Amino acid sequence: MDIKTREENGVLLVELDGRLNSTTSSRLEKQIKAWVRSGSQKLLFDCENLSYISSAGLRVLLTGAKLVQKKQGQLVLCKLSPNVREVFEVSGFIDIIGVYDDLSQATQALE
Amino acid sequence: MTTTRVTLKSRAEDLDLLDDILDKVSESESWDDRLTNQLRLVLEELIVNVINYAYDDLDDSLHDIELSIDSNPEQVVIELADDGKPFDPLKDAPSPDLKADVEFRPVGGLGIHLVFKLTDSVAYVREEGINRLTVTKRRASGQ
Repeated sequence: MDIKTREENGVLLVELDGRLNSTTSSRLEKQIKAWVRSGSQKLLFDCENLSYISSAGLRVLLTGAKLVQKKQGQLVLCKLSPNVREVFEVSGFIDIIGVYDDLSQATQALE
Repeated sequence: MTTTRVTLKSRAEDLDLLDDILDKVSESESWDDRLTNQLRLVLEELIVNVINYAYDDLDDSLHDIELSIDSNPEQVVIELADDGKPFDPLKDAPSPDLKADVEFRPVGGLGIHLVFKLTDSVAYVREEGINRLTVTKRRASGQ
């Protein structure tokens, strides 16, 4: 899985490309912790190219959401593929992590 | 109908092997994208569970995990056998609290829940020191 980031108006935009599974999720977890340590509080994940997520991936996103909440920040996602969306729905995560259709909606939610 | 049998080792690296096996079966059995994704998830959750929780060996010795995938146009049957601690997902898995708020939600407890949600039946039997799990997934018409 590839992780690309860029900072825009106080929001850290994270593009995930590939599969977020039990093998790749620990790498993302380390990254999230490092971003939060260096002051990022608003994380926006662009999931357009994220083809797969398992419970290990959900867990890392939940850990990240809790971490930024403690700093009065927020973690949101957008552009979920149908397969990834199904896992969010079945797990109930769709109701506890902000999921938006596109970048502008997700950006608005972070304001 | 085709049957794919493979022996995995109880180590994280073998999950990549699992990904390759699934890609091959998916292609030869014409699984659609959704079915492939669901079964990839089911297998990852079950096998990660075995690797992480089934063994107490102090020397981290590797165990065999036997996997078979039977696929026909009506359904896919996955059988998993391991010699780890007895674990009956129907009785021993804690059900996750899906209603809890992010802040109060415990981390984890989700994998087995997803397996039940995404398959049609899960059967468990403990036989001569072996956990045997049989998971059935019906294929929707047109898949």
